Amino acid sequence: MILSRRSMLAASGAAIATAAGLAEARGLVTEPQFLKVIDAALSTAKRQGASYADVRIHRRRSQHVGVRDNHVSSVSENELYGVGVRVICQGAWGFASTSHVDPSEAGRAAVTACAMATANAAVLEHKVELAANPVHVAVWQTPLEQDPFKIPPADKAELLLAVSQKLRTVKGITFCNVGVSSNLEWKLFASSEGALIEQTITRLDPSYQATAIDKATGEVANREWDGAPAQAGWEYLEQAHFLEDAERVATDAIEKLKAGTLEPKKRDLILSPSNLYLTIHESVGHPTELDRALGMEANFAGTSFATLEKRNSLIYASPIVTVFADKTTPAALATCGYDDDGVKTQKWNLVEKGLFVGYQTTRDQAGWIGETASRGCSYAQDHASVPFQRMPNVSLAPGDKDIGVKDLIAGTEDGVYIVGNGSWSIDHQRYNFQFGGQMFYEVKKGKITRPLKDIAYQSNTPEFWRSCDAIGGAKSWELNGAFGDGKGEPGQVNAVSHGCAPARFRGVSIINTASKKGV
Amino acid sequence: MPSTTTEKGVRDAMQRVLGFVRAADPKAEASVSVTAEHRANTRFARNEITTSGDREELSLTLTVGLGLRRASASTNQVDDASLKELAERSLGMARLSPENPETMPVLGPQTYGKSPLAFDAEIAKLDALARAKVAEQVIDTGKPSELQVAGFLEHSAGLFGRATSAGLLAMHPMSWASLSMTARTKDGTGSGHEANDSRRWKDLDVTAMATRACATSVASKQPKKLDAGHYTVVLAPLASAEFAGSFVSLLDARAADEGRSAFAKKGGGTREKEKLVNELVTIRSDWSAAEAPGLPFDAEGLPLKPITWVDKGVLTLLPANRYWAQKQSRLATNYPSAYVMDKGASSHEALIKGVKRGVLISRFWYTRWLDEETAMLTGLTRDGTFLIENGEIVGPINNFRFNQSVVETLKNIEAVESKLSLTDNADVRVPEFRTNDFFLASTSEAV
Repeated sequence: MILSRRSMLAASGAAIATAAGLAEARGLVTEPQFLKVIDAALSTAKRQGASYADVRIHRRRSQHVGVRDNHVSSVSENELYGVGVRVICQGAWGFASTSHVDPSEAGRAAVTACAMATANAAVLEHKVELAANPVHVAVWQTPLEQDPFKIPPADKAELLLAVSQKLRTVKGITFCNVGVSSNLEWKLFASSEGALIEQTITRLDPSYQATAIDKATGEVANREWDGAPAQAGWEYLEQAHFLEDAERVATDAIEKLKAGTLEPKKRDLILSPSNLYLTIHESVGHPTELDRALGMEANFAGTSFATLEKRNSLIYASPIVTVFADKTTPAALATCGYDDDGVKTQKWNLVEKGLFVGYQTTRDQAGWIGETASRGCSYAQDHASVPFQRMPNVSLAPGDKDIGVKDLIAGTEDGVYIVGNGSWSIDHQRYNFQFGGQMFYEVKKGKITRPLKDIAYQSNTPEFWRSCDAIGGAKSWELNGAFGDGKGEPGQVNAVSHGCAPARFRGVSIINTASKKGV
Repeated sequence: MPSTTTEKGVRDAMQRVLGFVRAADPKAEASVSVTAEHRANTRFARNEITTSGDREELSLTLTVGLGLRRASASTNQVDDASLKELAERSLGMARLSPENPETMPVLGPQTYGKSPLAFDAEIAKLDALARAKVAEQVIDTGKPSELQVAGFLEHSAGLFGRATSAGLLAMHPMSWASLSMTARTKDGTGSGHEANDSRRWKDLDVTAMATRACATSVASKQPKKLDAGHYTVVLAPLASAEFAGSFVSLLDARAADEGRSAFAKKGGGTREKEKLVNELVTIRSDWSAAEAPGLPFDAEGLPLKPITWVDKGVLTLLPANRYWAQKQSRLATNYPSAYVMDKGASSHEALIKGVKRGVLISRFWYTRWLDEETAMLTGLTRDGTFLIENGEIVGPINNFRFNQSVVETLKNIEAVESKLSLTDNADVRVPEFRTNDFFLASTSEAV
């Protein structure tokens, strides 16, 4: 029997669990066929000579409702469902998938994966070794009040149209786009070691943008809402001030059209959390991925300046900077109970009081740096994708003092304050970066003096982080995030959050993106 | 091969889902598109195979319309129960959706040509063993120079289909293969990269690619410092493709008509028929061309015709979908996902020889719009950057960040190579070119 999405939906939510451990853990798995699929994959892999095998039955569902100006422009849903089988044979990985969730197809995928691993073993310098891991039988799911997939598209559209109306009420707004994407991952992981883990993860990504055009000059100003995506239910939109912020966003777009410019030079830089999160992502999150540091990503995403010999010796940042990885932060996009190796998620430091101390790892990587256990960073975007090391939530710890952005501005003689993220780009070893923003403000003698446009900051990662001289306190710490962080070949997306408070950096190159002058 | 990924299986799935829509609501319009493919890959790094994957499945997207109400849903489950549920769910979403005044009726029967070069049986035969041998060959090429080699080989063979409730039926086989590799020197100061995609396996010359990547890696070792500034640059194929592709991505009639595009005229209208870039630049799309063969129809099911987007520097036409074309009384065309930038008259050597002091750029990385409305792009050089002095390559130099207008770059072209190269997109072919006043805004330590 092939399990359709329909029968799976019917199964979800019922109260019978087929594995004792799952039943105890309020299991949602009710379909005996899943266990037959798992058994077929794992037992076939064993017969084919696999020393390790795991199987993921994975359903990925997404829904998007979009509004352009005064009308709904799209209502769409996408669903992927299937089984992925991963094996180690003769010390090499093999992976195959099928969209037919039945025992015979799962067995066929196991045979394909084992044949692939055997072929790969001929071009191997090191045999894959998995770090030891406790066997978990468990269930985990996103805490939420309102499942976004149960909100009718018309209700979603009504809210989006209300935002659009509010944006277009502001005189001078020519166009706007408003949208909300919902994303659901349901996965059942089992391994030849005995793990059986069911997880349901729900994410929400609201967004909008207002555009103002000066017809006389042809100049265009776009302002995106700087609210964040989150792992949450529909109730999140109220907390996020999705509708309430619309007028301010529209007014900002008009203000941006009239904003002034700056001559390129080094200035102090104050970044709001809505901008700084992406800088953390690119300049700390990616460089501390162990696969990059090892050269595994050299052909695509690149390597890392944070190489193995620099751990515990490189001064990455000023002493007030501690950056931690955490796949347990509530509401953060990469949070879950267990990674796709079956490792329980955790929190650890990457940069501690300025010193580079840690990497993100998976079970097959931990041994490369002498660690005995994985940090739990394995992830695959869907049933047909092979799990590999992906970024956890990476966040900047708040400062010790109870200060906020107003205090940072008050202590700045000549600087720029940036809100929201705009254009971003960083080199393949994560040194040279250039980031824009949504709104830019000149800061003179402790006060915001005027709005600016065509601004970006350009720096080198260690130089930038070593120039950090103030970080807001816990009250100003907030989560922002990226819904579609890309990595790997073939490319996979990962949703990840970054928490931070506003922070100040001294003497950073501020450029004028409309001019061809350097600093 | 599962029956769902054969031609019969694809046609059958499309007809079944249209039947379920018709049965649920005879007044509904519907269109369905299907991609059915076997796709597999092998990845290598640090001179060994790291991961690989194999998938074979059908992906189906259904769009239903009730008057001006529309909704789409897609799935990879094509049993009757799933398709019936998809049809009913899509109709339910459409009923609950507000009207979209931009909705266009689905297309009826169309006449298409055949593109025999879009599918290659050799690609369909590739397996894990064949991929492992390619990986081994590439890795072995770097061993005499003690290089660390990483790379990726992926291939896909299958079918694309489209059908509507108004009687359109389009199906076509398609395939592609993609090979890329990066060779790095042991000391980490040199790097070379090659990437070629094609719809034909024989186009991917593994020996030549591996030899070039390794040679560039060795040649780029221990780069000297060159300051940021404005330089004449020679863009190797992967670099020139980045600029040609960025230019092409801006081609959109609606954005220009609405005043939010580099191709909008001040005060209203578009810049079509204006000479915007150098006369050495001609960019065209032709699905039947041998250089970059594609499918004979677009995503809406419209038959494709050869189109010249830029003719000797003149922007001839901006693409528009059917809604915008009707509203603006202009031609409805496909968007240029497949295109060729015409070759010129210079040899590679002549491109270098024409530089007094400049930079040869092998490849760009992490390009992003700084400002799409003014076509300002930023990004970095990577995997082989060389100083040119008095018409000769002097040696390797550090990498750079650039901040540069795409339109200005194509306007400042001085010479174009007399041959087309493969790129990292199977549907794109470009020549190398030389352009001046290119702003390398800051240096990058990355190798």
